[in-house]
Amino acid sequence: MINIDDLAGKTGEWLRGTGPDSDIVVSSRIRLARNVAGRPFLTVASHKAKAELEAQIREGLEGVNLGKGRLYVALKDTSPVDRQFLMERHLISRDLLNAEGDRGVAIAKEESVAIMVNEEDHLRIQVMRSGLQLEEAWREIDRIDDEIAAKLPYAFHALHGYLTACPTNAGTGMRISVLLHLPALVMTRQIDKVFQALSRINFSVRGLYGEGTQASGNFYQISNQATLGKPEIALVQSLSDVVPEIVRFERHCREKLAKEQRTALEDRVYRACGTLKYARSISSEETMELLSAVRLGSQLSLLPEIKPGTVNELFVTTQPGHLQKQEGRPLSPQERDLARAGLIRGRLGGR
Amino acid sequence: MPSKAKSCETCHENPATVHLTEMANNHVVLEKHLCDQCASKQGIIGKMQMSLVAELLGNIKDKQKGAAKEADVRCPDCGMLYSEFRAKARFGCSRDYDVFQKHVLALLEKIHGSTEHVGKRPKGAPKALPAAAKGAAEVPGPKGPAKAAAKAPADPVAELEKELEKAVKGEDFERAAKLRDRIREAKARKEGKE
Ligand SMILES: [Zn+2]
Ligand SMILES: [Zn+2]
Repeated sequence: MINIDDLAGKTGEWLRGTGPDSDIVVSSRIRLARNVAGRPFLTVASHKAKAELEAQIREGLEGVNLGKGRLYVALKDTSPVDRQFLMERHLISRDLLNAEGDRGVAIAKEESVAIMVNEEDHLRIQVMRSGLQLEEAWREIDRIDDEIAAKLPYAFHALHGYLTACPTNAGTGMRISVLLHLPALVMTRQIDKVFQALSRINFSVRGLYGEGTQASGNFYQISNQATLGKPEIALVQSLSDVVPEIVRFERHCREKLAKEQRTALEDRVYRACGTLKYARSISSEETMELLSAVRLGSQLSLLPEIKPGTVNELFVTTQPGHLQKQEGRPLSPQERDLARAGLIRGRLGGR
Repeated sequence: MPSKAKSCETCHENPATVHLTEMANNHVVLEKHLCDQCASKQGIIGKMQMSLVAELLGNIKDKQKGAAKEADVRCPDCGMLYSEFRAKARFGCSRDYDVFQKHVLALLEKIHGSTEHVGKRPKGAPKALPAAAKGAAEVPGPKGPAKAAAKAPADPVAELEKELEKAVKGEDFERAAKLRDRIREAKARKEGKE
């Protein structure tokens, strides 16, 4: 039986830095919101109802093929550090972390499959892949969803489709998110153009670590806004069409930087790398900023010794939950800055 | 090179990604810069999402002033009142979609530009209702005449052609070319089926 500690030694499939367009597209994710028919939504569910729901869903999921290495984490009995750790790995949401009562997450297939239980909806099924692989993610989640539907009757409406606690998710219940690293668009001040173009065609853009448009580490998440009125495959197609356009634009700006502002670019990349390799104490904020430059440098062959996967991984493993899990005890912010600097030095071959 | 991003006012650790300005009498009285985590802990992100739906609901209400003072409806299953749904912006159970039907239709139309699911269905689920049974006349239409077009049954070709028109208008010719390909494919598929 595997547990959370077994996850800590490895990284999820989506962080590998492989897959199509993975120099810019970090991951592709599809999430389906589902509720069990005949049960109250979590908005009004009592403690008893929540406990019953969790038990019913866990039992239903047992017969479903989620892939290898599956694990269920009952979050009520989990330490705050472990919950934080799961959130940093994108396996649970902030809302599920902060929620109370019976709830959990089923994880499988090297973390590429995660099913949150008793979040805002009874089930939030998620499939994640590294790089741009939306069709593959859709085929997998569609199959898992069918298998779950055979075990648990879903709340479904003849006209409105899958019913969700929040009307913004009704219909397909499907949210597609593509995580992009766009440092060159930010540096060349083209990012606002992209935002405007995307919002005109009804996609939402947000910084990975925030709700606003100011993203730390230049990571941006693009998602569909409407979930009702189009078939799932059309929603997948609409992102599959638009993401390559952004990728091309980012690549164009990277080439331009490398040609026209070579020295400034090299200065930025090598300074970032130097600081990360030798710093003794570093905040998560500075880490994000510098890792972003190193990631760009490694993609532009300025830092051939650094593997893309290593950088991707550091964005996650330098976060507070991961550091505390690694040290095996709670750390103060100052202690975290020391531990963070040590971890980075080790991974980047500094001293 | 120190980063220019502000850090969170509460934890002083993570970068501030949520920026709030509270206004009173046209003066900024409070500015807050928080990270995602602290904003979420303080319930601010949830509030932002709720206020979006609440705002949409508010708009719908205004459009219906003629039918003012209507009684608050209560769901017999979960006990939620329509007024509570407006405040929370979350349903209490799946029956609420029918109990608050006329508000729900307008709200879905506003959020998604549609009220009709055309995607996958669980095996054995009821088929979509015929257009006549939807009581279109009762729908409090937020968009007036535009609503008729939005409610037309989803024809993939028509949908694509609409998008194509938009792309051409916006001089996005690359997208237009792609859309033309997809229209051709969709038409071929349609003919193949018939
Ligand atoms: Zn904070
Ligand atoms: Zn109800």
